[in-house]
Amino acid sequence: MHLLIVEDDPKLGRMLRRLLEDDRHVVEIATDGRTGLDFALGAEGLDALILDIGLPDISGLEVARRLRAAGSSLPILALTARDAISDRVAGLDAGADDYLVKPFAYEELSARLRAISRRAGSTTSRPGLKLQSGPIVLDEALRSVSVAGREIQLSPREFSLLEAFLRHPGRVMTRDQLLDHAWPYGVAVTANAVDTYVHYLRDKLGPAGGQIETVRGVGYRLRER
Amino acid sequence: MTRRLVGGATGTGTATRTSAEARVIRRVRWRLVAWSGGATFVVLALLGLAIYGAVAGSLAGSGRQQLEARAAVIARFLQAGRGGLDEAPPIGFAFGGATSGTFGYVVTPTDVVLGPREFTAGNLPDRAGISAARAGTTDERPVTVSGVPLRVLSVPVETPGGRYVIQVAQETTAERRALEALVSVLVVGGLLGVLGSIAVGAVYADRALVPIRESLRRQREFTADASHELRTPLAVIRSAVEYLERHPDERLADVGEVISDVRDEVDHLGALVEDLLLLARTDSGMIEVERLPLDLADTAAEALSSLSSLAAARGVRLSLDPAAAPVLGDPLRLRQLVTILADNAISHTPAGRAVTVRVRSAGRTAVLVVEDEGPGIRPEDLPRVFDRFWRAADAPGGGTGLGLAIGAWIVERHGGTIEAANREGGGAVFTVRLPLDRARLPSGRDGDPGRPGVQPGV
Repeated sequence: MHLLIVEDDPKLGRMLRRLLEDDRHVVEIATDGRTGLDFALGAEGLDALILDIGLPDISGLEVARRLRAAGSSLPILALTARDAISDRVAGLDAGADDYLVKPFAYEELSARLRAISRRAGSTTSRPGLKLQSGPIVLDEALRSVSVAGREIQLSPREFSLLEAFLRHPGRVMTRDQLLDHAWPYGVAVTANAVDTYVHYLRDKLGPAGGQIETVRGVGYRLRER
Repeated sequence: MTRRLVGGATGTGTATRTSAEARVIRRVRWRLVAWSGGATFVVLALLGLAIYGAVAGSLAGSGRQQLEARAAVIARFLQAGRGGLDEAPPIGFAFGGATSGTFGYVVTPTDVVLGPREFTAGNLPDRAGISAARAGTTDERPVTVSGVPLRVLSVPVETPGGRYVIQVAQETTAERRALEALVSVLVVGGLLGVLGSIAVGAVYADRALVPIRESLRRQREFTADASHELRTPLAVIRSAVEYLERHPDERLADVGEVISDVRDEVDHLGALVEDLLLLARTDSGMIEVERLPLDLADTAAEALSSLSSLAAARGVRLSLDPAAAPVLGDPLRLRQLVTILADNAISHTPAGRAVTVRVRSAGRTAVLVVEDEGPGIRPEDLPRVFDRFWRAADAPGGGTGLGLAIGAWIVERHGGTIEAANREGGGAVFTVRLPLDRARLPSGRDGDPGRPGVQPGV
């Protein structure tokens, strides 16, 4: 998933990024509310927002409210240091989909992220924790990929690309959209990088790689079977 | 940990908690109003009863006097020894009639009524009064005859012909009306008084509750801030440990940043806990502050010497400009105060600039001034710098946000004042004023700021 963390504590942001990148997520960090809000409103391809409520400039609640007011349906997981019921209610009312009280277990953060993105996933309504197309299965919880029951090893970038395809099956994805989904913003990559990594991905998927079709002059599409 | 949550997060998200608080406040307020209204009601009710009693008593008294005077006139006729009272009575002997509301007559021992014709032994309005008078006592009682209220006085008169009874009566309708009018005035006035006192009580209760509201609000903010300040480092530590657990094979050098983050956060939590415990003890008044004779210049020198290595490491020039300033105080706490102020100044001053600590005695005051050449304090932040957990938005990391709050407490316990301001040329200046221990002030030193102090600088 392509995630945005809005957290003013640089150490916590760093640590979350390490853990999430370990799980082959693409992670962005903003350290204040305004930057985070601009980012979330301007960026395409974000799958979820991890939002600290206690921010120095505008509170996370305000960020969530403004995002929702702007019509964004980006799944939001709020992080809060306050555990009173009223605080949680305020967080959910402001537009967060779920909340987590600090300090939290990473496993729980990860599970809640999956849950809110699944609930929000109108593009792919599916049961369970698996993204599947034909013989290709991506287990979101285990962060693993198998083809016809045999596990294959993907690099983080290949994994993110495949995840982007599986989340939008049958839809033509432009190179730019794929860049947005699978690469962190601000990383200087050209659209050619997409071609290169799609090529790698097809190779690793073996015969199933043929499911990723080239749409000439536009991008790629995952054919549904 | 660089910043704290400010206004936005503090002000929102506490709606329900606020309403729980508001309920308590409302209850207290109503109780205050009820007490004030109740007390006014009791006072006005007692006052009203007293007024009613006095007026009713005085009306009844003057009515009885009139009746007694009339009875006395009749008694004089009787006692003048005029026998043969079976004849028509003389003028003034008896008067009135049942319809006039005022009348009098005499009842002989043989129960013959001498008086207006309509009265006979069978229809006297107050037989009980006659019986009482025959027994020898003067009797007064209210009687109602066909709806008309009367005051009836029965007086025994001893004559040679035996004990006669004079009965005189007057209608008390007017008296009753007057009393009823008085009661309605008292009730209406009393109600208005109670309502007024409730209104005044409500306003007054609101005002009285302002400091309580304020203190509840501060308490709420403090709790919210404290949980943020304590839980975020915990979240960092927890995440770091989980990361390390997931990478058991990684070499220590590769996870050095993770480990140093953990150490920093543990240190920071330690400092926070220390400061929070100190503040908790100050709040509960558990900390005694000594009052020993000492020189503020010495204390400042001691504090600065322990900060000199920190200043050197940050490239900040730290200097002391002392003059003797004898005060009564707690050496440990005053050193802590200077350390807090100087440490704060150093952390806000860029490398190559200076922090100056000045100690002076002026008049009755010992003055400690800590100046820095940093960016200064934003004017809108000046009122908040001594608030707990308040930190400038651009504050460097590491601080707990509690130092200046502790400093302010130390100054307060020494009977002094502390203020924060900006210097004209830029940079912040903190000024502490403590009462001077004038008994130990060398003569001629008083208010001489130019004279160098007895202590060498740092």
